[in-house]
Amino acid sequence: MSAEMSAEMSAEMSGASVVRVEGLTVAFDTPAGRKTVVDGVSFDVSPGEVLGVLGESGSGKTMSTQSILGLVDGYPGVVGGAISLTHAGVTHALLADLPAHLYARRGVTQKRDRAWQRRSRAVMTPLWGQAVTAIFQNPRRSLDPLMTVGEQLVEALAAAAAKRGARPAAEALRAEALRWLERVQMVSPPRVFASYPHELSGGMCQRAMIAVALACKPTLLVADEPTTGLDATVRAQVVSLLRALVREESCAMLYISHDIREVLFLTDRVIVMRHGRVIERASTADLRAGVGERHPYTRSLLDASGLVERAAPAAPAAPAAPAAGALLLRARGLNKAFHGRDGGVTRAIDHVDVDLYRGEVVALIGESGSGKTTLGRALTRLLQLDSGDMTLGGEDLRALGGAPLRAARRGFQMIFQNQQANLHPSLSVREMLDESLRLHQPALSAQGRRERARALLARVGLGSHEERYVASLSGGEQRRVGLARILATSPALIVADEPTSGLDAAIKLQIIDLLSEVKGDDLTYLLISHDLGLVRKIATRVLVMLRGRVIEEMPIADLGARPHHPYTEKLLAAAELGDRELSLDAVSVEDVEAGARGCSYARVCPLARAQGLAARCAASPPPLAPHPRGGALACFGLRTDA
Amino acid sequence: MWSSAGARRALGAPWSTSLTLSALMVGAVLLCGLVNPLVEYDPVLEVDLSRRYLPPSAEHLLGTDGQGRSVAFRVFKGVEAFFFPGLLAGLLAALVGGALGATAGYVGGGLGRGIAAALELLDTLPRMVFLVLVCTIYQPSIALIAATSSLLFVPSVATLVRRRVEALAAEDYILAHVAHGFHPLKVVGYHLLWLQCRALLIRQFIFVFAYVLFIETALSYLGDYGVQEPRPSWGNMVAQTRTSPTEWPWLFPAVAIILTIAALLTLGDALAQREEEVKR
Amino acid sequence: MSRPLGLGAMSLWALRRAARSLALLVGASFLVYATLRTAPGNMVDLVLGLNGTEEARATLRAEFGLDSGVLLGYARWAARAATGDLGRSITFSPGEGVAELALGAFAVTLGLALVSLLLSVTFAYALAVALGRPQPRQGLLLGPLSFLNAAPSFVVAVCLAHGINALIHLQLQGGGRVGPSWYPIPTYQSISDSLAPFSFAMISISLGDGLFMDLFNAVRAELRAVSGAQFMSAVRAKGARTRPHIVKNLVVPTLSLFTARLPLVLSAVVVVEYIFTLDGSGYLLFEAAKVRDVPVVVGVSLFFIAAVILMNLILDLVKAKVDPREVARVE
Repeated sequence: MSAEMSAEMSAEMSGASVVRVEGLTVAFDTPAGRKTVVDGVSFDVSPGEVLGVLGESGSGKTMSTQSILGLVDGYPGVVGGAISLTHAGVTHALLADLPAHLYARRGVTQKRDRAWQRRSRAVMTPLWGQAVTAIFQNPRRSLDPLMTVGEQLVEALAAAAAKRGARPAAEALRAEALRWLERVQMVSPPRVFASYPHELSGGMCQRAMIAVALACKPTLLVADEPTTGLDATVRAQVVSLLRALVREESCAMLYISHDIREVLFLTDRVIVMRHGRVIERASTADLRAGVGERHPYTRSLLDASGLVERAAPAAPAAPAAPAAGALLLRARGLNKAFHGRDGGVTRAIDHVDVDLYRGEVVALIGESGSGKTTLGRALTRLLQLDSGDMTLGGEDLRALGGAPLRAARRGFQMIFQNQQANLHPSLSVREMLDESLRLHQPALSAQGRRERARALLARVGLGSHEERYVASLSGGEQRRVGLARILATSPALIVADEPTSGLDAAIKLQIIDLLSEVKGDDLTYLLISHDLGLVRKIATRVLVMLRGRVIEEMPIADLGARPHHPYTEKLLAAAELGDRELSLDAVSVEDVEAGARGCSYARVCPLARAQGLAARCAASPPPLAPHPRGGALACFGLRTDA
Repeated sequence: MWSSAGARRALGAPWSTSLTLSALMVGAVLLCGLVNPLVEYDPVLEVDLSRRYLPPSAEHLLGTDGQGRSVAFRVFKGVEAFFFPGLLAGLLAALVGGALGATAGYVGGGLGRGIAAALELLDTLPRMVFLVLVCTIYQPSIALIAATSSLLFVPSVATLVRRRVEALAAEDYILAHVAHGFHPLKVVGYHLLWLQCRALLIRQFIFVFAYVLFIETALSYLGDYGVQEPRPSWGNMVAQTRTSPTEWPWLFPAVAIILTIAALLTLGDALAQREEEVKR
Repeated sequence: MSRPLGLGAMSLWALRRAARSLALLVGASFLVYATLRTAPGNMVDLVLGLNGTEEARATLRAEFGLDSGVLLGYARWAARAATGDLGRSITFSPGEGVAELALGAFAVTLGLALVSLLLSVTFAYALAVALGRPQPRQGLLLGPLSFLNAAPSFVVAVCLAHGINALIHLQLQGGGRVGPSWYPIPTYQSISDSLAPFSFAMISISLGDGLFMDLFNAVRAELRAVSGAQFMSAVRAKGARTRPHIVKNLVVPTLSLFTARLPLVLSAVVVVEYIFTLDGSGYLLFEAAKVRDVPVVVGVSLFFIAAVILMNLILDLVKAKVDPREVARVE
């Protein structure tokens, strides 16, 4: 492997590179002492090349790239290495006089921080926007909240022009800004131009940021997790837009991500980082093809992404065929509308029927705002429905109230997306479990509760964590404690709302395994998720929601294996970025206003357009009709095919 | 409940110098306040014009004032003027404010908005001015001053609690407990107020106590509504500077006021910060 | 398509905000009136004593609507107050209109409060900029500072006043001039219009009640939040100047500091004014309270309440002008 790596390195070094980082070291002082977050990292990017930096949170990938931008905040920050940035034929050594700002005190490297900040600013100011620019995660926070998107775009254009020595007229700047907004697929550029960031969705903000960044005509664009927190379809839109525009502008890009699919989709070459070091260098083509020896960590990332399963389709069929258990939960005609302050009505759940059978794992997928969380809460009696009937094990759930409802709650529990919700920062793990056991098993003695708590922790794979506090637990451990707490009530149904969101890939896999491990034969899961990898792993049946309606239902085996509702098709394409045809449809659902009486997808549906059904689809909602291969489908366009 | 491990841990973390000093100072005031009712003191009998303005000595630790009374003893006895009213006002503000804030945050809707509006209304009254108004209309007494102060602090306590509860509601913390099957009263009283707001409430309690000390001494200094001579209060002792500007006995109560309030606030901040740090 | 929050929405919001302020004013003044009416015993006796003339009694009854129930009485009283008639002083300065008396005094108080607050904020910004990023060594400066700053403003004022008095006394004893020319001898009766007591009062307010450190901590947190915000990185990365963005984003937090601290500072001013015998409403309030001149005390209270509400309204409107999110937030 080392021979191969060195060969690659020398090949890289022969070409003139846009940026070359060598032996970069970044450290921060924490209450626990000096922590080196980037440890001797080297890489370079050729002109027009896209280099992917892949790693989990805390791997140092963000800090290595912030160093190129001169934006590392914290003490002491960059303490070693060299960065050279080539722009317009001139190479700038960004860290040239770094050693002069360092000194040792009691054997620890210290830094003349303010002097360094000043120097760094002076070096970077002419380069920012020209040689290098960036887009960040959290697009809403990347735009100044007090200025319109247009003003910020014009500001970037004016700054870029000023550095070239030009002073274009305001009208020309505005026209160019509008042109850029159009290039990033805004539906109505003039409206976006005059909008403040808080009036736009996250995806629109990120597209605006892409416009701002590329309008500077940079040599290198640093994209730091630009899709974090965006819905899958929006993410797909941003990523494909980025891919197309960077090529058009022939600008080099450093793409930082924790998502291996995005990296494989976008980049030419990949480095994998872990614990501040580069542990793998490979070309994207090799990674995709599975050529060459891989670091075990890269291997695990590839495994977790589900890409390998695709390569070996003969993998054992994950979930056993759904044992036709007894009907556990039956819900009919559920409706829930939220009334906005401006008088608008959002139909969060719109005539939804759900049946859950004992022992099933039903996945509820859809984008944010599709009503899947609301449905989960409605089924666990956490919100008041407008109408509908619900029975759980034959008992009328909607008739319950007060003490009987509280007693019944032990039968159906919910895992909240925000794991902080179920945990107390000021109670130990044992105290937390004790509290739940006292509530739901009052017959147990203190000793009995202690033993039961220990057994529960063992069941979720936590040994000696009884006296620990939430703050000292890792994300995965927190999920386990939350699950233990819920298992303390021995429920029949668990509604799990995005149980793995915010976890790193490897931990995600562990939690999925744990969920299927504790499930047993009797426990039923309703899994709310947008993560199709998770869904494929443990679900037996899938429900797809769009704007409050269930538009498709299918056994897991059929997911991706039969014609789907066009919206489901889009979700799949977005999730399996690069593996599935992604129609570069400019409009995503979030751009279209709600309120249609018919199918919410009608206005952007390619199928409806192709078959001339748009008017009919928009007029009345297609009913959810049984599909010959099992499940059901609500689409006028596919009825005939079926 | 005080033995809850979290609270113990909050206290168990290493103490900084300023925190130790503050705790000692507050401890001393606490001790003085508790012992005070047991010690008899007749300010008239103490008067002895033959020993006016004596310098500090073994017999009179802080010397004597213009009427020959021991300054040290009067400083000690002056604690009584604000101690119990302060404790009660702090307790009242924390309890009522906590209950109102938690109710407004938990219930929300029309009731929540109603409570919030009422609190906002109460919050527009400038504290000092309203206290003077109340004292002008009613018979002024320290009990009245303490009760009014606690009433004037209810909005700020309740608003802090309400914001915290609303933030927790946004994190689904409340919903998760309801879903788990807890009684709503237990969720409000234990999970919200005790587990999540106790640091905030204790800090506000200390703050109101400090405010009563401030108000009592300020009004006693001004002379008409607070504690009247010859009964001692730190405020009216400081006021002696007006009649005898070159003498020094006013200095000790003034220092006592500064140190006590500073120590109280330092302690309150440190305890709250500690609780936050433990959570992280 | 028009923006959801155009100019129309903005002025509509401003109107609603003003209406809320008016409602608050009505509510708060009703609280004051209700306090008055729930007083034990007969209010007229309370104010006038037993030897008031029949005519004075009738005037007082009419002024405060005492013949009607609480609600109707309030309506009458408020209607008079709305026209600027807050009754007449009884004992403090007999016969003089309360409105004129309180207005003149309140100008001094408000000026003192605003100047002190402005000065504190300015110094807080200066110190925060000078110190930069928090470092452990700064604790040596900030620790004692925050400890001393916790002293109540009236104690600081007393210490200052005592120092001045002692100085004057020493000079008198030394047989020199009759007091320094830069400071009029406080007599606790007459009222001085010198700049010196004004500045001393200002210093006391700034140095007391933890005001300065409170502002410093808030300002420092805001500075760090704004200059460390992600969009500031984005502004740098696109090659634009950061200063306009920083300044614009600091306007709202700074105004919020003002709004939040104003009532506290007004309370402090009341006492400090009295100590330095400044002819402000604090002095007026306490002197009137001493002689139980209820109309004056009530009038001064109303000025304080109205000022707090009005300042909040003005600051909110300015905030909404700068930050479009305010309009969406404060519904």
